This record gives sequence, structure tokens and C-alpha cells, in this order.
Amino acid sequence: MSGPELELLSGGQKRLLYGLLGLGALALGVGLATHSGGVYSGILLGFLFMLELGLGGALFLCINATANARWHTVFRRVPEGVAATLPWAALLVLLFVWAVPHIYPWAAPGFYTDPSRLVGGVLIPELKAKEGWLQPGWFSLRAVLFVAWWAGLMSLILRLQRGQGLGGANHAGAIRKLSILFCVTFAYTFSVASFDWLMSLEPRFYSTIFGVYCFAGVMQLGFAVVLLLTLFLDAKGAFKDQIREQHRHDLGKWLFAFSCFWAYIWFFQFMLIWYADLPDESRYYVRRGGLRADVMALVVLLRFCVPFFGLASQKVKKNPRILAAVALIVVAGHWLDLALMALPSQAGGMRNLYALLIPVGTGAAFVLLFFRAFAKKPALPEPDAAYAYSRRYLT
Amino acid sequence: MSRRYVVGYFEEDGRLIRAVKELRDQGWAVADCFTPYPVPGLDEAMGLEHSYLGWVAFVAAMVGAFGMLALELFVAVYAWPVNIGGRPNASIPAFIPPFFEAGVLNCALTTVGALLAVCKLYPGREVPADLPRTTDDRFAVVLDADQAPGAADRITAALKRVGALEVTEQTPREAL
Repeated sequence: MSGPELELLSGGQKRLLYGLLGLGALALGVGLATHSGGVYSGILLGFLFMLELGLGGALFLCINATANARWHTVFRRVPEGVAATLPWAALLVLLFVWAVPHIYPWAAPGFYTDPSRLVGGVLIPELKAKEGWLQPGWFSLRAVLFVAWWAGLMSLILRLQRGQGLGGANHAGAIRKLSILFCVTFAYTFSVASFDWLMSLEPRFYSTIFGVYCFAGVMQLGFAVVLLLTLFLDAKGAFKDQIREQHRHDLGKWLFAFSCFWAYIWFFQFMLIWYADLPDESRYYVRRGGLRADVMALVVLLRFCVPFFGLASQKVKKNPRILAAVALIVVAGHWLDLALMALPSQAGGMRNLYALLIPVGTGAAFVLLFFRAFAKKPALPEPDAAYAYSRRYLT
Repeated sequence: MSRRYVVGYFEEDGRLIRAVKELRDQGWAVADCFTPYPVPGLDEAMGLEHSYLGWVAFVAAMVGAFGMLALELFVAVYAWPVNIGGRPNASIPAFIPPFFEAGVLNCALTTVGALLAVCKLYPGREVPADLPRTTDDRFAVVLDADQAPGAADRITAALKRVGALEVTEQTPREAL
């Protein structure tokens, strides 16, 4: 290797990340050893948080490849590194599947035969149709198949991406086709996965927009994470000053746009349920405190108000410090959003330290894995023909 | 007396941007550019200041949105209160979609209107200058011919040097 190797993470940052990872592992160990009820929803959140961080990068790559976009090629190693964490997050599904009987009320034996859910000896219709679908075995198989499909397909795309431009190889067509396959199958599988993993925590609750809502969150998270890591690496000089104002502006626009999209979906799930006021639906919001809910307001503040008003001006969308601050707030907002979806129906409610510490641990694992994957390849994909365009495009 | 202008025509947007940069580097003031479509990077090359249209859009959106909210509250609470499923008369969640739509509508209409007003575009407006093919496939840069003694000839020479297809002198009906 020529020249001094770039030190991407300082010793202190590495120690901090390993410390947070250790803290998450410790919390998991203590929770499991003491049979604390809250540890299981901590496992769910830790699994989801790390998985969705990786999925955000995967979607970023696939959407751009689908559109034949080249503007992001300069920093494409960032979403590639993010997506490369997917197989590791996918491994967490084993822990999650093991915890399923402790997390989901329908997984408890006798749930579907409990007299409180029977009318005239027959299961109430709200649950009748779900009885066959929400069974631990079939549920776990689905979860494993989903994450295996996402991680497997993404690994294939990343392998092609890595060889792109080397020795005259051009895989752009194959990458694009696989990316389209990822996007289309992701829409279906992720909708079902969010119905399974989050919506079925309250088995009688149903909302058809729920999958879209979770997807909007993942998209926004993906842009925030890619933006944050790109700015961090750029400040370290990893991109040799090839990240221009134009790239920052466009990343800022993406984050701004998907903050609006998320808010749009959030509001329409809320408004329609509020309007119709059907018991099974509105119970979801009543449990979260109705209109005066402080946590719900905080989620909207972090995921919508801060990025919307913070990034409205063009000047701000080019300012790395403000962009990084907003992106960080959005990531925190995503965690809080997941917690608000998962925790109120669980043992311990919102006051659950495991639901904070375990996702912090898996989040630290995500960052460490990202830097491991990023350091493996040259930071700039110079052999790729799209690289030259990305260096100097204008909009 | 009307002003005289030197007009240089180019074949490509890239050449126009390079020409504008070069002319401004030489100290010439560029009056305006005429292109068939918006050219990214040209505003920067011309040294245009950031447009204040964004503020017009923001204020218009706020006026539209809060105007609609005021109308909704006036109608539903004061003028014609109706009991709908026992909900309070001032039901903000139901008012948000029109609040949003009116904000977008007023923002869009006002921004277009402000743009037309600033550019002095209205029905019956006469074309101030005849710049052939600039709505088709030519990119023109326009410079004041009398910005310095003997400027016309020197600008013409400079334009030819940076690759203008054609350089003409014009005296439009009004200042550009």
C-alpha cells in the first residue's frame, strides 16, 4: 500500500463504540439472567434498529441503481458499507425468533381459546382470520425467509458492485435488474414484516398503511445515516475533497423530502383512525396517549419538525454541521418511533431501559461493521465510469 | 436614447457558461443571458444573487394555510357548528388536509404570479429585443456596448475569441 493508511476511527471513538456494544451485550445478559420482562422487547428493538439501518443503505443503492443515477457514485461506498452490515443484522433474527413467545401475546399458549376472546364458543371475527397467520412456527419461518432474502440479494448486488469497472467489467445492467427485483420484493416483504413484527404486538389492531409507515421511516433513516457517515468520512478526508456542495445539497434535499413523506404517512394513519374511531383501531392511539401524548409529539418533532424547518433553506442544506446535527436527530427519532410502536403494549411500558441499551449496542455494532466494510475497499470507486460524472455534475 | 448592446450567440450551454466566466474575468459586466431552457451553473457564472422568490413562496404558503385554518375555524365553530359524531367543533386533525392544500395552492399561484410580475411578463407585452433562435437552439449573452469607451469593439473581439458563432449589435426597445 502506498501512503499512510487512513485512520477512519480514532482510538477514543473505537473505545466508545466497543463500550456501547459491550453495554448492550451486558444489558442483554443481565436481562436474560434475571428473566426481566422488558428484555424481550429490547431484543425486538435491537434487532429492528440494526436491520433497518442496513436496509436504509440497501434501499438507497437500489433506488439509485433503478433510476440509473450516477450522482452518488463519489460516496457510493458509504451506502455500500451500510448495506454490507445486513448479513450481520440478519443473524440477529435467530435471537429474535427465539424471543417470539415472550414478546407476542398471540404466541402464548391458549391465546386463541381464551374465553375472553370467544363469543358463543367461537373466536371473535377480528382474530379468526389472523389465527392461522399469527402462529409462532409460520411467523418465525417468515421472519427468517425475509431477512435471508434481503441480506442474500443485497450481498449479490454488492459483489457485482465491487467489481464494477475493474478490468473493463460492466455489471450496470445486472446490478440494475437485481436492484429492481430488490425494490419490488422489498415493498411486499417489508409490509408483511412490519405487520408481523410491530403491528401484531397488539393483535386486534390493524392499519393498512402500517407497512408504508414503517417503510417511510426506513427510507428517512437511510438518507440520514448515509448523510451522517458521508459527512463524517469527508471530514476525515476519506474522499480527498471530492464531496462537493452539490452532493451535500442533494443529500439534504433527499432527507428533507422523506421527512415530509414520513410526516404525510404518519398524519394519514393518525387522521383516518381518529376520524373513523373504530375501537380496535383507535385503541392503538389511546394507548399512546391520544392527542396530548408527549412521546408521540416528540417523535413528530424529531422526525418532521426539526428536519422540515431545519433544512428548508438552501444554504442550510449545504452546511455540513447543520446537516449532520439534523441527521443525528432523525436517527434518534427513528429509535424513539420504534420504541413508541413496540413498547406501550409490552411489559414495563415505555419505561424500559433494555429497549434503550440493546439498540444502542446493536447500533454501535452497526457502526463498527460499517467501518470494517468501508475500510476494505478504496473509498472512491474510481474505475467506475459513473465516477467522473459524479465528481462534477450540476443540477 | 436607447442603449446599445453587444449580443454573442453560442451553440452549447457549456460554451456559454465558459464565455460568461471569461468575459466577467476580463472585467466586462454581463447584462443578461437568453437560453432555450434553464442552464444549471449559469446563475453562478453570471454572479446572480440568490433569488428572494423563496421568501415570497414561504409567506404565501403561510398566508394560504393559516387563512384556510381561520376559515375552517370560523365556519365550524362560529358560523355553523354541527355535531359530527360527538367530536369537538374545532377538530384540528380534520382541518389539516385543507390547511395543507390551501398552503400549497396559494404558494404555487403566488410564486408564479410573483415571477411573472418581477419579469414584467403580462398579456400584450411587447418583445423587448429580437434575439433569434434563443427559444430554440441558441444561447445568447448580452453585454452593454457603452460600459466603457470603445467597449463595443473590444467585447466583440473577446466574444469571437471565446468561440461565439455570431456577434451582433442591437438597440432594443427597452433596457435589458
